[in-house]
Amino acid sequence: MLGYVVRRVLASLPTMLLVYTLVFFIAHVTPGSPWDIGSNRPVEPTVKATLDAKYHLNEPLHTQYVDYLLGAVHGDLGPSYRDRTQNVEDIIIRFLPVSLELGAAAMLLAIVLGLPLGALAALTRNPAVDGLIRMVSTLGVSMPTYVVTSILVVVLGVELGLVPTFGWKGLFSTSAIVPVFSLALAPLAAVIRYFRSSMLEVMHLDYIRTARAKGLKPLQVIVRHMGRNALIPVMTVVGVYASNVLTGSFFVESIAGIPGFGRYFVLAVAARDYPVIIGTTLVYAVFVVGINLIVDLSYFLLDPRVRMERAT
Amino acid sequence: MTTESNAILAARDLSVWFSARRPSVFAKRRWVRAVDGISLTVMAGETLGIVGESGCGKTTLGRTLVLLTRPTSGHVEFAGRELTALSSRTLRAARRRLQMIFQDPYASLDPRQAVEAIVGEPLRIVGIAAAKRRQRVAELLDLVGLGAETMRRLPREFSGGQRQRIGIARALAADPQLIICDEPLSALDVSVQAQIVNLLLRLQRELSLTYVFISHDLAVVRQIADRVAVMYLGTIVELAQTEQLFRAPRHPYSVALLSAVPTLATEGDTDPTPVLLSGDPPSPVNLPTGCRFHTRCWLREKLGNPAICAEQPPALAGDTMHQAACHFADETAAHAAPLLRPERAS
Amino acid sequence: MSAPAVETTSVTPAANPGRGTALLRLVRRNPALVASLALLAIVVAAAILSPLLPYDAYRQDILHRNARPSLQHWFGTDELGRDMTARLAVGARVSLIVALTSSLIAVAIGVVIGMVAGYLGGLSDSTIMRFVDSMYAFPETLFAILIASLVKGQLAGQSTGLLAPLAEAYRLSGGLLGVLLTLGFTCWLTTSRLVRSQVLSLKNAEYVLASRLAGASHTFIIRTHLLPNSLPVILVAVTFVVPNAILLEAGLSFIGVGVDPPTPSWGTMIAGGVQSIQSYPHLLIAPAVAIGATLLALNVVGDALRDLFDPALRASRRG
Repeated sequence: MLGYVVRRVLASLPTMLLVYTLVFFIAHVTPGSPWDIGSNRPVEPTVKATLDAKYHLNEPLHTQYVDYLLGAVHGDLGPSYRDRTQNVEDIIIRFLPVSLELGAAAMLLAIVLGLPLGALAALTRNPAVDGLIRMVSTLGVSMPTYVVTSILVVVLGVELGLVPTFGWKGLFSTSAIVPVFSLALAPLAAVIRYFRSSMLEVMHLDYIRTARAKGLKPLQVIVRHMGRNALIPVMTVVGVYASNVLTGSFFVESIAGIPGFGRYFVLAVAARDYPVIIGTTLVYAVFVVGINLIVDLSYFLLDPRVRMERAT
Repeated sequence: MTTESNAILAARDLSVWFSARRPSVFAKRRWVRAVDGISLTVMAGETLGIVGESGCGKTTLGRTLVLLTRPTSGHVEFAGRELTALSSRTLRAARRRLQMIFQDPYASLDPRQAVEAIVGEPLRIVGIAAAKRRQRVAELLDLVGLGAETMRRLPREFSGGQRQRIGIARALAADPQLIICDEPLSALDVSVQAQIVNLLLRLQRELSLTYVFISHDLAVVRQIADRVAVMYLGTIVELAQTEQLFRAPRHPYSVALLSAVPTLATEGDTDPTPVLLSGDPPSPVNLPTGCRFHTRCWLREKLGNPAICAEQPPALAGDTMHQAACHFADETAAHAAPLLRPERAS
Repeated sequence: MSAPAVETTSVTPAANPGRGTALLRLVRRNPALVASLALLAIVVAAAILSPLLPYDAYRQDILHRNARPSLQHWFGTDELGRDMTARLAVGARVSLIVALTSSLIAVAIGVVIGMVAGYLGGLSDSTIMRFVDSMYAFPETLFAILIASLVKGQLAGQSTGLLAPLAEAYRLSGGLLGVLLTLGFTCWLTTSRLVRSQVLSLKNAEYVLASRLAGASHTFIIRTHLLPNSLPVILVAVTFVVPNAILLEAGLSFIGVGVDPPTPSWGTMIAGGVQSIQSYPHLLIAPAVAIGATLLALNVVGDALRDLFDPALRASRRG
């Protein structure tokens, strides 16, 4: 298994490099210099020259490319151009935990609620229950996060006054309810859908009938036999949504006023703050690749066929 | 460079190797030797049968003979031109008169094309105008026993046998000299098989066609082929005139194949038990040393397990009418007699 | 034709009754689908008929700004007094144009790439797919934002040379061109994967082999056999891409890298609404509900279309 992990990590390196190249290219091709404050006042040429020299912006592009990459590998993502007193990695360390908390809580909620609901929808003989759950899940999949957040903030916060409409006081306060729930809705809906459909597929297979004929209690059958196999497609979905949840937090953070990483990124894009843009993208890409790796590993654990295929 | 003056297709040392999965990056590369050093010639006007079990490489051989699959090594010559040396573009023109009929009537026709488009495609490709095409398609359909009213219909409206006829019409549209029939009957009912066989024979007579007929059904091959090649694990183990093969096979594998053909028993007959080959066929990745068949060979057992079988691969040897690749080909006939059913007066 | 061995050519009627009847049956059985189609029809009507509405979406009426919904202004007015109903309708037009055009671009790109990768196979395929995999690692929204700012940067300011006509088109379209290009370059991934896997399985189909034997060129095979038989898959891809495009467009406009003001887009309206969330919630709710309902309807219809094509896909392969 260690070999598998190592190989997958190695395989993702070219991917990361490509991502970095793309972002670097995009960030630098965009016209305008980062020193322009606002779009109407280009900075004075002498000031520009000094700043450019200080931040190596006057060096040829390929030198900058290599320099930044080497630095990034060592954890040095350079100074932010907007606020030159801070280094990007410090900014990330300051703001990222909030976004991660938010994202992790949302995914956890989605899984903890989604699996039982999906199973319920598959196993119930009551078509109304099944229909209701399916409708809710279709709704969840279609609504954009920012729409849900907006509506919830307005309804729960402004009209009913149950939650604060702005700010973040930690994961276990009322201010977390709206953001966590809005982020969780889409993955929740997806988990319900996929788990339900894969349970339905598995339910009719012969080995389940054998298990029940053997006399296993229904709960045992569900958990031990059906659950494991039905989980496999769910893991794929979880992987896809985990990375979505990280980026979807842009909107949620902006609307609900959460001092997280997403909001900072949006401001950085507007200000052409290259290091922040590039650094953020790299961090996100690392996350996505890492999540994919975890999902692959889970296949490995859940599905013996994957293990066997490697052995031949 | 063909030896026979009326040879139409010749394969020399043809090999098709596919690369197989390796257990790790450091192990040596492994190969599936689907076709391994086969040489054969097809004479104009004849029907050459190729028989063997599933997985012996006959379909791959068929596809390689028309260069649908590029051989790993070896040569294929058709109508005096060496196809293997041609570039893709020249190849397209050079092999037009080499056509193929496929095994699965449900997969060999484009489900979205009407019959007229399917059969007319070879004509369209060479640029024949629509009106002429339609006329020719009607002729071809008539030739294979389908009426012109089928032209506008889609494949899904036809039965298996009818689809094979459409496939045959398509092959004929290119005005071929040689047609490779890749198990064309395997997916059909027995009664329909007979009709298609009759059709193929009639077309061969009327249009002076040459066939290479690939099949695992020995009874059909006996009916239709002039010569037969028996394949095992990528090589030809026996090549003979049809009746010679069926009456006096010289390779133990052919004996086993023939003894397994079921026939109707008549009163007073005691059917000899078929020769059962021991074990499973070896994996085409890990071939046995020496003669490929020696691990399952009943003759070898009978002869006391001679060492040569495991050490030296036998070559195809014999006279022009009958060749076999066995070190003990001459003994085969003697030992085979009790195993084969006596020939009934046909 | 008189040979006794010829079987009669009685053609059995098609086993599949055809997709038209199947569709009607589906509609009757599925009220949610009917409701969704109705909603989409309303949205389309609003988009097309928006010039006929009583109020102009661009006319400001400061005296009556931020008015709550009333009989006069069905959805109220925005912070500059512009009628929300009219703005929603024009926003619908923007969303529809964006959805359809950018989906077209994205699907076209995806089909080309998927077709090339699948057909060529081997090293080209691996390289292209490795590239696609890297793109997948790139969070989609992030990528869209980056491309959008790049496009805006190149086209919005003064441009010279080759880009000048594009920049002009950009200005005329009120920033729409930028969004179209952005979405087109972002949303092609799924399509390419779907098309590629379909081509991989089709390319060795026996009828393709027969074509090759008949002397067909690669373009002929792609045009005559591969593309038509990939249509079901392409349609499935479209059902995924269209709602995603609308979603992304609104998101981009929300951040400010989408359409330029004063063009109303549901996304810009949501962004504006967020500012006054405490005082005038209707500014936020109206576009939020509009976009949510439209996306819901699109997803329901997309689901139904996918279900419709799946059995047909299997059936057509069989026969």
